[in-house]
Amino acid sequence: MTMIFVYIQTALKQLLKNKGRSVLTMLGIIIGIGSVIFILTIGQAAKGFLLGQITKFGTNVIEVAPAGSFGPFGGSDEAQLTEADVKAVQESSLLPEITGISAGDSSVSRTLAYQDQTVQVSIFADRPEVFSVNNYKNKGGRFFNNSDMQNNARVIVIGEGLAKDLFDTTDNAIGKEVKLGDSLFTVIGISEDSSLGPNSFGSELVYAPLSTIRQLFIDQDKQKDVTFMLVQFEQGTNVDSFKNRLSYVITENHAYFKENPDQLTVVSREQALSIFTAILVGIQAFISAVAAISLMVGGIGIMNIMLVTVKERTKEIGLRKAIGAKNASILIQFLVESVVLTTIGGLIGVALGLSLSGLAVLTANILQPDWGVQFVVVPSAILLACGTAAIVGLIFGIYPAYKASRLHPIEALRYE
Amino acid sequence: MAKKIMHRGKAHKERVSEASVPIIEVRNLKKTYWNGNVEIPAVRSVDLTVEKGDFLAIMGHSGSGKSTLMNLLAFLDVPTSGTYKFGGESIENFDDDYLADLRNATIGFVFQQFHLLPRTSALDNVRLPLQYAGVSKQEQIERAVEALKVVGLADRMDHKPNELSGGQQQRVSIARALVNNPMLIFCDEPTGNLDSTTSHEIMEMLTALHDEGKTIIMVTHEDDVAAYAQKIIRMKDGVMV
Repeated sequence: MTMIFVYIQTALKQLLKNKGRSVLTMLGIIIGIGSVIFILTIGQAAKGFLLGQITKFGTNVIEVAPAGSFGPFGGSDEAQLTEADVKAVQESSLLPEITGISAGDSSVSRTLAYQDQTVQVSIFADRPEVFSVNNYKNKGGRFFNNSDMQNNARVIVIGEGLAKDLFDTTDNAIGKEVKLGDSLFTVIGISEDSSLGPNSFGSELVYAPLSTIRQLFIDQDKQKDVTFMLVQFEQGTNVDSFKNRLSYVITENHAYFKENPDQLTVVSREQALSIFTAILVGIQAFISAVAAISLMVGGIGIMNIMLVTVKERTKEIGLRKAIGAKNASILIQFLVESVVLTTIGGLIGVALGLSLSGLAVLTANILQPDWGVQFVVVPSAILLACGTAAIVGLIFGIYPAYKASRLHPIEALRYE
Repeated sequence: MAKKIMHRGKAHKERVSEASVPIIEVRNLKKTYWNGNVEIPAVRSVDLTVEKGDFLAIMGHSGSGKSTLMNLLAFLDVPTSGTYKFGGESIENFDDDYLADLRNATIGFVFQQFHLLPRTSALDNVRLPLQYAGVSKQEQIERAVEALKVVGLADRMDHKPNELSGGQQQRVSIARALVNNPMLIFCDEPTGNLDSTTSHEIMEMLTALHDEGKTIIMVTHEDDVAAYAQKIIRMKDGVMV
C-alpha cells in the first residue's frame, strides 16, 4: 500500500519537472471534463428551475388544444375548440374531479397606452378562474370576478413588471385609466409575473374578462371560439384516467375531433416536463459525445507525451532495472504517472466547469432575478468525471508503460 | 494484514552468503547475439572463479566481450549456454523478476556514466535501490546517509547531480552501490569519465572498500586503473587469454 504512494510521489515530482508540458498535455482532458461538468450542472439548474415553475403553477392542470395550434401554420379552421366544448366538460358527470377551468381567447393584441407611454400587449381574455387555475398570486388590488363578466366591465389585471414600468409602483397602478386599443379600461389588480403561462415570452400580458373582450374586439363569427383551455383537477386524481375521460368528453361533443382524434392534444403539465427533460437529456448526451471525442483526443495526446517521456528516460529505466526494478514496477510507475496526469487534468476540468456554470447561473440571476435559478452541484457527475479522467489515463498510458517495462536493462543503459 | 511478498533475491543472499564456496563459478559460459541471420559470438567460452574478497579487473579492447561477460556475471543478461553458480547455487533459467531481485539484493553497480537520476538529490539517488527492496522510508534514509558518509559526501546529500563535480557524482553512485550491502560490486569503466587525479581518488576509495572485505569486479581498458586490482583477466575475441 505504501508502495503506491511512492509511485504517486515519484509521478508528481516528474510532472512538476515539466510543468509547461504537463499542463499542455492535460488541456484536452481539461476541456473534455470541463464541458461535461458545465453542461450537466447547467442542465440540473434548468431542470430545477422548470420543476419549480411547474410546481408553482400547479401540476394538477391539463392543457387542451387543437393539434398544430403551437406550430407556425396554425390548425385548420375546423380544428377549433368552442364554448360548447367548455360547457360539455364543465357539465360532464364523467369529470367530477374538475376544480376549475380557464378557457378563453388569447388571439387579441392591442396597444396599451397610459399618458404618453405605449406598450404592445397580448390580451388574455378569460373567466375569473384563470387566476386560481394558474395559481397566480395577487400583488395588489383585486382580480376580476363573475359580476365583471356579467357586466362586460372594462377592467384589466396587469402583471407586476408592467405595472412598475408604467406606474412606478404597483399601488400607483390601481384605479388608473388606460387605453387598450381605442377603449378605456381601469386597472383593478396586479398579478405576479408569469414566466410559464401561454405567450409569456416576448410581449407583455394583460388579463381581462372574456365577455368584455369578445364584445369589443372579437369578430362576430369567432364569438364562440376558445383558443386555449386549462382544466384543473383535484389533487390525487389519476391523471391518465382523467385525461382519457377528458378527451372522450370533448370528442363525443365535437364531431370534428371525433373524426380526427389526432387533431386534439391533451397534455398534462407533468407530461410537458417530461418532454422537456427528454430534450435536455438529448442535449446533454450530445455535449457528452463531443466531450468524449475531446477526451479521446486528449488521451491520444497523453499517450504521445508518455511515449516521448519513456524515450527521454530510457537510461533511467535501464538504471532502475539494473538496481532491481521488475518489469511490473516500471509498468506501474509510468501508468501511475499517466493516471496522475489525467486525474489532475480532470480536477482542473471540474473546477473550470463548475466556475463556468456558476457564472452562467449568476448571469441568469442578474438578468432574471425573479426566476430564482439555483446553482446545483451534482456530486455524482464530479465523481464520474474524475473517474473518466483516470480511466483515460489508464487506457492511454498502458501502451507507453508496457513499452517502458519491456526495455532490456543493458540496451536501455546504453541508449543515447 | 497482507502477507509480505518474499523478496527472492534476499532469500538467495541469505542462503549463500555464509557458504564457504566461491562467490562466482562459471563454466563454459557462452553468449551469442544474432544480427539478422548473422551469428555474433560475444563470449565464446569462459571458465572463471571469483572468491569472496577478490578484486578482479577484466581487461580487453572494445569488442573483446568484456562488457558482455560483466553483464552475464551481474545477471543483467542470460547466457546462451554454460553454467553459472552464484554462491554455490545454479542460477540458470531464472526469470526476469528473479534476476531483478537478485541484482537488487546482491549487487551494486558503478557505471562510467554514473547514471544518476537528474534533478534528484544525492540522498534520493542513493536510496533508490532500497525502494525496490521493500525497506521502510525511514530505514532507506538512514542507510543512504550512512552510505554517503562512507564516500565522504554526507554534507552534500541535498545536492542534485548537476550541482556536483564528476568525482562527487561517481562517489554518489558508489554510495548507491553500497547502500544495499551487496555481495558484489560491479564497476564498468568507473574512471572513464574522470580526470587522472579524480580517477586516482575513486580507485583509492574502491581499494579501501576492498580492504574492508568487499568483492569487486571491474571492467576497464586502462592498465593503470587495472593495476589497483588484485587479479587481472584479459578478454580477446570472446575468450579469456
